[in-house]
Amino acid sequence: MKNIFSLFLALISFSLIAQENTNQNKFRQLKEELATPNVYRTAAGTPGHEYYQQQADYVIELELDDKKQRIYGEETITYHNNSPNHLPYLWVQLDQNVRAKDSDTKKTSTSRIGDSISFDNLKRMMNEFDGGFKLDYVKGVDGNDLNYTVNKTMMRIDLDQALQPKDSFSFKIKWWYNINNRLEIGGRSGYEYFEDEDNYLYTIAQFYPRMAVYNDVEGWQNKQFLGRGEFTLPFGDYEVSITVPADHTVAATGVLQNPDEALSEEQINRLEAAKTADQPVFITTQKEAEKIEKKKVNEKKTWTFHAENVRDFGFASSRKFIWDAIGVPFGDRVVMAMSYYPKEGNPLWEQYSTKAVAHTLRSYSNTTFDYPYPVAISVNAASIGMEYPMICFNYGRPEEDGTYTERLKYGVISVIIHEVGHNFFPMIVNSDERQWTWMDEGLNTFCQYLAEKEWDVDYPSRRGPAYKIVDYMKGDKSNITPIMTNSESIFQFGNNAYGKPATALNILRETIMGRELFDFAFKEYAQTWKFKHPTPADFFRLMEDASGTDLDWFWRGWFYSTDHVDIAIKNVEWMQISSNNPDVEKPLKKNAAEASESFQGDLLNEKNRTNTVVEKDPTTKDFYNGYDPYKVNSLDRDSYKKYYDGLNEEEKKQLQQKKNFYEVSFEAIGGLVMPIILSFEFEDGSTQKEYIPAEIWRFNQSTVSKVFIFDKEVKQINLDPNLETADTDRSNNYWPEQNLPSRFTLFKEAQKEKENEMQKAKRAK
Amino acid sequence: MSITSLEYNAETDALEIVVKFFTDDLEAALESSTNEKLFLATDKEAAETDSLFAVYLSDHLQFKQKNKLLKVIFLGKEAKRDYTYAYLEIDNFKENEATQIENTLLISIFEDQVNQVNYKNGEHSKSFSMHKDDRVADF
Repeated sequence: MKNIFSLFLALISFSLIAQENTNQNKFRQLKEELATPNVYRTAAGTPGHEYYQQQADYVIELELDDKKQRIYGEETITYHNNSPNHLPYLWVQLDQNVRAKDSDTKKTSTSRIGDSISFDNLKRMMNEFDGGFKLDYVKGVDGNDLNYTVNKTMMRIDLDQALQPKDSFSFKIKWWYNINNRLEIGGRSGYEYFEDEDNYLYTIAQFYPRMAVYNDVEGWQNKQFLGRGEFTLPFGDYEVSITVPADHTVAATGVLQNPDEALSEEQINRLEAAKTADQPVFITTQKEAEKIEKKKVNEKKTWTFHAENVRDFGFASSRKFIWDAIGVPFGDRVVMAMSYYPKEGNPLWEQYSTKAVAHTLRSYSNTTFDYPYPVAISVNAASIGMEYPMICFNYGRPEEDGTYTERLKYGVISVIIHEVGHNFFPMIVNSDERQWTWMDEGLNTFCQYLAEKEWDVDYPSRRGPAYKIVDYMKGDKSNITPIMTNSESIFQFGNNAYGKPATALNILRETIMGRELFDFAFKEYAQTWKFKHPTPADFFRLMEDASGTDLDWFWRGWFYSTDHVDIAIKNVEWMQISSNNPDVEKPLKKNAAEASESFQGDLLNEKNRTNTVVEKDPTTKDFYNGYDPYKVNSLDRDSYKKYYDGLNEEEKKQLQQKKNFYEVSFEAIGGLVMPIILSFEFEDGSTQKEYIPAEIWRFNQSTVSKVFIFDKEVKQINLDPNLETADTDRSNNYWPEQNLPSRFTLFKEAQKEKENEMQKAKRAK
Repeated sequence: MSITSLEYNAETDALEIVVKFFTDDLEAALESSTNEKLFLATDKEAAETDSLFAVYLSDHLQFKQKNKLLKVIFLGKEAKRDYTYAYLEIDNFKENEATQIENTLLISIFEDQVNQVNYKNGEHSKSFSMHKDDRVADF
């Protein structure tokens, strides 16, 4: 036992030594972490001259069976190989298989019951739902079967002849699957059942076999879908016809191709009016929807949609939908912002949903690029927020009496901004969600914060400001992963992939780069990579390239490590310039000596002065007993005169200044280096802010010191006074040191002041 | 995610406890124990909320020294923005004794619930996270 222990210690010390001999400077460049630039992706973070991306076009015919809650589908996929490579096989995603009885998601999720478990969790654990795609066939357009192999949520199609560069391949798949009850077994898509009226509300996605991405960084992106790492898909054009009960309203990605068949004349007129209206217009009113949902028809109706240059397709269908819309002009184009919701979403949804959609389109377009699609839709679905191109499913149901909390109100507006915002990241700036959640969630949460503050300056945003990430970043490091972690292995998903990157971008914008440099670079990134597939390295590089700012230290600290910010004021020394004039300095020194603290023994001995040898016997005294080291003599004055006369005019001026010098030393306890932002408060009550860029730490990443020169005397120093850096411990940010009351003390104090009702009544008598 | 901050106050000889919840999460947990709507942090908040909350905390946040359960006093709660804070206190806390915490807050509601615990005693501090497979810890 003992031996094993000492061996372990030896290993640790060895690795420490090994580390010390390599470059550990936090400002060293990121070149070892980032992929080498090449013809596909440049060092400037832009697509290279041989950048390529694949394309997949779909023609899909679907039927939604409202009686059995099933989807039946048949599709023709045309896959365009724009890569320079021969492809002997194609990979297709079968996301529905995540709900198959034998799925890895079920097998690899940890479970435990303990002494209590909620009914919902029990239901999830025990569910016997028969999910997953049931494939009828996979064949070529010539009608011959194709060889295929299903590997859980992925399917490989083997081609007789490899697909040549610049060539296309078309094939057909027929399938069906049981739709899941979202509220019982979860899922981004599925149905919600309204038991008292026997109605269904379907929000449907991942409903068809979809082409996986093939590119220069991943080859085939065929990492299994476990449920958390979302999606990454090639762009393409979609023609989708959806057959549903004739009394259903369908909302979908793209533009409706057969309004004359699907809609009433009245609805078509209302839609036209909505284009130029200044308030949302009802296409289906609540009264109309309530009438429709009360009975069921047996007829079917087909809705056909067409969408160009999208990476996916989603739709919603129900006989419960209220529908409203408003036009949002972009140049000479009008984008339709629309909402579909059951009466259960009102009155919240009719007041806010479509307006939040329209606001998001305007705000994000301003931050990135003009919204390029013809529609943007928000559909009300209980308890989720999930995005697809042009359409998203968002939560928000008031109480039955129509009232709702402030939290729910802002929750609804926030989720709509967020999910509509996903059109920009990752639907258009098409990053790989299965690999990097932060690339869409983090960037989107950052833009969401900007949009919320444009909705209302006092908007209670959950994520964005630096101080809101403090609790997360100071937490137990064994429960934190760097932002640069694969989507399936992230701890604390929301904080890691949404909150921290959004905060990091905010800090870059407000504190490190400034709004002008940041906004230009961020917009440049969005515009450069719209309708393309960026990687983290492209983002890091382009932000630096477009702003002329070396941010490697920032990416390294905030994105590649779990360090936190805790910068402390370690020490403050106050100094003034000596005039060297003995008539000035010697009395000062004398005062200082007399004012200095005395040793207790000396104080007590003072009483005994008259009994000492030198007092009793004066012959024991000599020159030194009467010598005053602070007395100014002619030699002092002569030497000063010589010194003074030797100075030039500028030096003489400097000597006469009555400046205060403060040497302040700082310590970076948390590991992250950040700019040092100081507020000096002077004796006369005035204040001055000083900003020192993070590069002050480039030679020493644990302690630095800096001298500040003022005419006035400093009374107080406050480090990061405006809470810009996410400093996790503010108690060491003050000079002189301050004891900050804890939340507990504040609460107790507030409680003390409170009278109880009996006391109040007594006093009122 | 909940965050429990423990701080030993040498002056009062007490362990001061602040637990931070997302109000929505807390509401879901409390409502699952009564099956009634509580309207947390609103004007309509149910009168029994505080007592339900106190019981919930005593069931799901427990402290032991020498294998004996310590008495935790519920001082009250406070809502701020999206969060609700609970304030608790253990009097006559023996700071030098090993203390065991059992934290099962919200884990029967959210499968992937993480409960963060931060302990501070003067300069000494310790931080750890707890979840369904990790309910007991010493500090």
